[in-house]
Amino acid sequence: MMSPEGRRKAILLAVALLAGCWLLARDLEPKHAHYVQAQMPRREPGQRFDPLLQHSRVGNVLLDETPFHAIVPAVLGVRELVASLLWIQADSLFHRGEYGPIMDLIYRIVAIDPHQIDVYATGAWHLAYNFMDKRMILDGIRFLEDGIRNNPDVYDLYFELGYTHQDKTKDFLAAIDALSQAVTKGTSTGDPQPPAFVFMQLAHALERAGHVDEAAEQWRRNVEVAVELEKQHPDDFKYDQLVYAARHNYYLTLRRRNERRAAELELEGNGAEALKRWEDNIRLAQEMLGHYPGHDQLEQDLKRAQTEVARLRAGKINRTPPPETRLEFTVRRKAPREIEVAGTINVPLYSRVRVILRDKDYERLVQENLANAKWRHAHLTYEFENVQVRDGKFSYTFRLNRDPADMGRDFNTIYPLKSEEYEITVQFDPRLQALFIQDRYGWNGERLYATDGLKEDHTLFGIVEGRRVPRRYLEKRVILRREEIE
Amino acid sequence: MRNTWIIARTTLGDALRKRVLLVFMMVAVVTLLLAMMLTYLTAREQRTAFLALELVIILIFGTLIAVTTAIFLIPDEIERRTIYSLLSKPVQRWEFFLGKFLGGVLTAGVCLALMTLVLIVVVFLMAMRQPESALGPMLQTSAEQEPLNVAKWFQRGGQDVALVLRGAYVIFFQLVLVTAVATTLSLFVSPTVNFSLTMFLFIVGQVQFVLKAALERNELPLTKVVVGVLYYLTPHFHDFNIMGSIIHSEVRIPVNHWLFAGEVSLYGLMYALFVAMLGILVFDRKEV
Repeated sequence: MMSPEGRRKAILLAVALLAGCWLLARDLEPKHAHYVQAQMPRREPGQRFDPLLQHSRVGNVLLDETPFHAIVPAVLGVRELVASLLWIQADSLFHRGEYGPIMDLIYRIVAIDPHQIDVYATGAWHLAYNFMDKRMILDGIRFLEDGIRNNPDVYDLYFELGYTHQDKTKDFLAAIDALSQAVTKGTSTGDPQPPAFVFMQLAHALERAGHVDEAAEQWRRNVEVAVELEKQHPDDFKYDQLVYAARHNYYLTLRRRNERRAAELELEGNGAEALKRWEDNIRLAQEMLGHYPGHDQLEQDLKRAQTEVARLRAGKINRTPPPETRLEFTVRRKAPREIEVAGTINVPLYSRVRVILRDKDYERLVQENLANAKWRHAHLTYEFENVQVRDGKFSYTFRLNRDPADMGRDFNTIYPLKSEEYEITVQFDPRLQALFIQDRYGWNGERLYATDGLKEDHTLFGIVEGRRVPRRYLEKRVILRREEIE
Repeated sequence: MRNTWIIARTTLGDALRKRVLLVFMMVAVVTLLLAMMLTYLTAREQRTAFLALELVIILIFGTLIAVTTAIFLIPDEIERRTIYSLLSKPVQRWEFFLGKFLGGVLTAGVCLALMTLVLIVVVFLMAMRQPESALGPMLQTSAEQEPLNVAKWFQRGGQDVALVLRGAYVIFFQLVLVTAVATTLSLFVSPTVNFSLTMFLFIVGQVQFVLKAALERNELPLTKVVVGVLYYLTPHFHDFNIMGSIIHSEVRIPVNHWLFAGEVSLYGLMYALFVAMLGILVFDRKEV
């Protein structure tokens, strides 16, 4: 038995310990609120909150900010576990081909645990690619933007967003924005720099947007990045290949800039300036041959540049303009909800025209209902295809009477045809063409000539040799009434 | 303190010989290995799912081990009447209680250390797989096909091991607190009731901040007072939950993680000592 004195001391110690616990608990609470806050989804811009300023108690923060269906795992402190188990279920559904419930599950997962980067990436991939419902590309983009709001410190989702813009929406400026962010972010495993392909993708996006000077500069930086990586991994052949790819692309961009500009200058009758460009190409090829002696393509490039220099020095200037590009097409209803678009265009083999069918005011309606995906899906119709041109002809049939992905969905839910009028657009855009076709028309359609249907967009200009160049493309459209489609 | 240490060591030996602990350990280890079957996911998905699953498993099994050990520590001695021969020796009652409590803590600690060791080995091996972009295969940049970079593997593995150690460290002090609660309650109630009560307190401690927030919105003043008292008297197990920062270590949180772990462990230790002190005071006067 303790003495009365010992007992009194023990009681005093117990009281002191309890008081210490209270004080510590008060100190811990706001700090732990940061951990709770970090687990919560940030759904819209400006929705970020500071639990220390706006809430006195972390419980209030959690109750106010957690979606209803995430409340149980949030309250029990097992957000990550529940999200991971749901993700395993979503993965099983995908491999069983049951695509329908996947997106519901994915939206639920990121509400529970908004740091599941792969769930965002895969969800956006389903939306923008797999479901083959072109309206959902926008949903995929918005889903990635949501993912970036919740995971702003790693490169992954910036890269996914940039790639999706470049590949799907063809909004190259948006791609550049996202990829420019991606190259400044680290990886989820703590590397301060993203993988090399992110830098490469940025350069490609700049080139696609017609920002050729910046693209060249980015390729130059990419060479530096690749050389540094090669130094760090001297035994890894992959980095040797990376240096080659970066150098080669840097060379190609500079070579093409000279070639394409020289062609324009010749057309203007400025043979002296055109000569300088070809002379520069000789220097570029020789410099590259210094790195890669005996390289077949480089040898050919050198020969061609030397031939062109010789021609120009002999005063033979080619002032023949490229032929006028003529785009014609007809629209025919083959069957109910089957619309054939067929036409002719005198462009090189393997060029592509973009054929689009959508509500007449599609862009405006989308902007007005950007946040309302349910309304967009219920009311809007949007389909397009990049159709290959063969022997100057192209043909594509919009089949609005079937599920494009054969997922057993009702075609009325994908092509609701709720508007009175629809527009069918056919575009030939040099920015969307393969590089060897761009050689003829320029990055921005600089050498695209047409008297009918030529559009110039001065807002989406490119920059070549410091000059602003408007985006030039061919576009024609027809309006159809709903009854002409149904 | 020598007597306390001898009792603690003996308690640890006794507890580890119990089959129930082995069953828990086996289940924990098997589950750890099962989690490795998640290899069909990408490296990052696998890591996230595995860590989320295993940290919860370690917490749950660690708690079960701590509670099932602590609820029998003193009642078993009384039932087997060994307590009489012990207390007839020059051993103070507080030394006996503290020794039993420390024995329970050591038992939970050893089990936790074993489970953590398995987790560390698995996590380190998993770090061999390189994370890649979801679009990686499409861009033909699949990290899966790249040769193993040992330096990067050790870097990733080292980071993950440090994270797991931080998680296990914080979990340990939860177990210390749980052991203190169960050991003290064992002076008042039967093991079955004790198990239920301790688990109830543990679960309420995990969610009490939400309960409080929900009840605060109730306008009844009496409710506010009752909830307020409960909130400040019961242990805040929720503050120990830092799993999110371990699983998603890339997320920036404006808190020094190790400092927070130190502070929350100090809270756990102080609360456990407070509860143990109550137990000592009660046991000192208890008829056995």
